[in-house]
Amino acid sequence: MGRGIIHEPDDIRPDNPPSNPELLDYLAAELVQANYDLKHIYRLILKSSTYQFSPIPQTRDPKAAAHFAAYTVRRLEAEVIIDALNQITGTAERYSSIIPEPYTFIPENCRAIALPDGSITSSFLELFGRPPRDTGLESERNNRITAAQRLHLLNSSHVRDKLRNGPALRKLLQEGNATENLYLAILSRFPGPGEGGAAGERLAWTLINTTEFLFRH
Amino acid sequence: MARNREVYVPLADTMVTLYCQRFSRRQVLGQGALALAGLLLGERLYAAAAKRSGPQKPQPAPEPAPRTRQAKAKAVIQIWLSGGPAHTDTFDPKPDAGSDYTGPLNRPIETNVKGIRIGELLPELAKLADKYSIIRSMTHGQNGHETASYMVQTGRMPGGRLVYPAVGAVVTAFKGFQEGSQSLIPPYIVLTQPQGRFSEAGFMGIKYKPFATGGDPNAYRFTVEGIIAPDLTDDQQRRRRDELQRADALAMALADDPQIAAAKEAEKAAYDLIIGDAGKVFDLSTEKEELRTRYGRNTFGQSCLVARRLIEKGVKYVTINQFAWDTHKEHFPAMRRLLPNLDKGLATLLADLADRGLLESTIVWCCGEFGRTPKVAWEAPWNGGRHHHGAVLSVLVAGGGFKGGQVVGASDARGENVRDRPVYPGDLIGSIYELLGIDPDANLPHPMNEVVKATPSPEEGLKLAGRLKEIM
Repeated sequence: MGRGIIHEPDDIRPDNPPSNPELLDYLAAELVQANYDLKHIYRLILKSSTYQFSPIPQTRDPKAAAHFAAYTVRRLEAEVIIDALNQITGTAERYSSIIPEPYTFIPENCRAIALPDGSITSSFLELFGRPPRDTGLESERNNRITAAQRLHLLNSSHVRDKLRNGPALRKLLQEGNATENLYLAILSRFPGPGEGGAAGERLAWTLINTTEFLFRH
Repeated sequence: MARNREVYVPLADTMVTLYCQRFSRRQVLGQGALALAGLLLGERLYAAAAKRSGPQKPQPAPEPAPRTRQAKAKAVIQIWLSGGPAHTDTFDPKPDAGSDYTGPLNRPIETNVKGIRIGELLPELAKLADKYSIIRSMTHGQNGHETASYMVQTGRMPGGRLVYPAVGAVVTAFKGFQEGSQSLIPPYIVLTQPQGRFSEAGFMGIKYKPFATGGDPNAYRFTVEGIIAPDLTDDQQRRRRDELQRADALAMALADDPQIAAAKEAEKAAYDLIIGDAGKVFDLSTEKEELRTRYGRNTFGQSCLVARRLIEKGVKYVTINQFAWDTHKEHFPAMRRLLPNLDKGLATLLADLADRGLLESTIVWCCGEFGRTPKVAWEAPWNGGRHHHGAVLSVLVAGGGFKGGQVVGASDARGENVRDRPVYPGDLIGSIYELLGIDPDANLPHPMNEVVKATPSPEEGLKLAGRLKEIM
């Protein structure tokens, strides 16, 4: 949901009360009743209409965010962006760990979210604010968006090469309705009326640079 | 951020001392060249967004307290001859040591300053020795690339709990970010590749990393990573941007959301660099052909020219990395290849800065991590090579309050050890900070608010011999 019933989620103390104690109690009771099955809680949340709200705010009430009156938009995490780009284009990153020697090389099919160690990193992950895993605090992750990140996605050779040479992307462009393929692969939806245009590397570039792709919404 | 992720591994040094597999290492690390971290224009956008979105969590890293002294220097260009250039073939020639020491380079040349002679392959630099001084007695005694690079560029000993930031990160922390650099161009730039295993920002974290340009300034088009795409014209970039604006319906619907607004501002700043005037600093086509030729039509020479342009635009620290100087084998042919480019590039840079009145306020320093063994290894497999020599190295310093035409310290008859006036890396670094007006008591920004002094001092247990007062 992008926000805790206690906000910040790891700041639990008597003078930082939950915004909605009844809701918290309800979820706690559900968790106990389900024999601490977290998937039960995920299911509850994911199936709730609250979770499925649109991000477009319906009210300007300052309490809206604390009560989940609209979906909280938030930028995709560093690992998720690079994994998504790799999945869309069918490319891979090479991760390695240079400490300690001898170097460790991570298999190419390893996703960034599955990297076992904070010291195994890449300039992309650092640029996009992946946490170094020093403290375990949620606030260690830096998801703020910077111009450097925009430069990278808009105009770097790294992303350009993926879009140009990615085999999975090429396949999307060659099979069936290419425009639809791109929308489905990148934004998980069909193009709306007036959307689309000629499918190609350029449309893929446009879509991966939209707010819709870069933010959970 | 606080974790010493690039902790120095002592074992590595002994391995490197014997076999410098530097290229494979760099290739591994070079992947990181991308538009690495540093670019911090986003910070100020974030500040703007934070203002709009109300109170934020307290930021963990407070800026160091400003209490700067009268500064003579405003900016720094560091020319890093990675691998370690031979001091005896460059700025500390020893023609009387015999051919086992000099090899074929035994005829040093007089400079325009009486009494100062430098290597015979540096004729252009010999013409303007009044503009720079030579430190012939820097020493740290470390023969491993990693340790030595760390010491020369941080002034500290590696292996402690903290990984210290390099001079460039410290200087930009005080002169770039603290003084509220409003430039779109990041204040700390590396031409063209970062140093790989060396963590420029140390514990200060990613905000203080340099922006590495990638690309080649000597190419027809200098494709600065993220800023200049090789195959897109400005018009094409504009059309793409317009297309993106049209496709970005969600951003329009959420225009009031502080995060989305910050993202859009970041995008605007990015486009100012891509198609706006800010990015033009990297476009060398506006420079006179004659000047470009004087700098040397090679990557190093043109990097020097870019460095001057960046300094003119207010960039605080430019590092030019040249990875070529680890000449264990066939050292002398390598010198004949490398030194003429260094000579032209550096000499033209100094002259050009002086012509534009920038040398007074710009420190230029040039060295590698160590010197090289004065005795030539003639035997196979080296075939006339020189190995690592941390006991002595030479450093060229110029501008920004450093006097020219001076020699600091001396090595012994063969250039094997320091004879007079040892200079430790921390002495030079402290002197650079002093000229920049960085308070010797100032603290570095630490993510956990730990008190760490910017300037290396004897209280830390460092060996120091004092600032370079003789040339300041």
